Amino acid sequence: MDSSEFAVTVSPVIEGIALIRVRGELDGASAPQLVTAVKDTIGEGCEAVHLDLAGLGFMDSAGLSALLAMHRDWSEHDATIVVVKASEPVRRLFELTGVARLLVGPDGLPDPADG
Amino acid sequence: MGDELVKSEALSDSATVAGDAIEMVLPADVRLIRLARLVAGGVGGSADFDVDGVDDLRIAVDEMCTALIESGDGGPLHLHFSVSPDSVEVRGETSASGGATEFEGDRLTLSKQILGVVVDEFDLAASGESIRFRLVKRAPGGLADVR
Repeated sequence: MDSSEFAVTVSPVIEGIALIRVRGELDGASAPQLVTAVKDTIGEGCEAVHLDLAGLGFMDSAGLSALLAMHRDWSEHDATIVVVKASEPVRRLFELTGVARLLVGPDGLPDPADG
Repeated sequence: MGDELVKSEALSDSATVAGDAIEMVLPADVRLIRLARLVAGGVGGSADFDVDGVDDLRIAVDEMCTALIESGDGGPLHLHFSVSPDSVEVRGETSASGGATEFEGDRLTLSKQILGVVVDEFDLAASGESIRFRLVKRAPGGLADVR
């Protein structure tokens, strides 16, 4: 599989929390796939979505905007979306734009080297 | 026609190299911006940028191409990459038959934040019936390198 090929993997919901792993490149072309996956997952009754973005090799402002929009929209429906892992390009974008405080949980992000 | 075929045609038919410059024409399709990123990565590598510098150039070109597609009228994107001893300059243009264009919105605000950090100069402007951008990324150690 091409390392830049976009893929979303949804794990079974456990105690109301679903883990969604995203890999490839998150941009204006691929973001709608993630938005749909999150919508479908929450529609199945989970209360929180944890996003593992450690497999993303690229993200742009369109991808970041999609994350922020999901965070805002779903919080109005009492569902939370939290980024629990992030690759270096994603971390850097969070730092450049200052959005980590919105998207990352209180425990912060683990070091990528820790897997 | 499948996506892969569309991408292959765009690559083989629209990218030309002349000296230290590359000209590229892309259909106004967000799915094809990855091709512009690919070229940006190659140009950054040929300019001896480090890994972060190449990533900076890729995201800057991506942001500008996204802006052209969002604000243009669906006409193709014309991109020009040029390498000089201490920098890479990328210029792009598309048509905007709708007249005055306002560059605003949450995504564009984020985009400008990003561009302000990853490149040394950038400009996006509408003029007449076209929208143009220009960005410059200087090599590490260059006079205006601020990272």
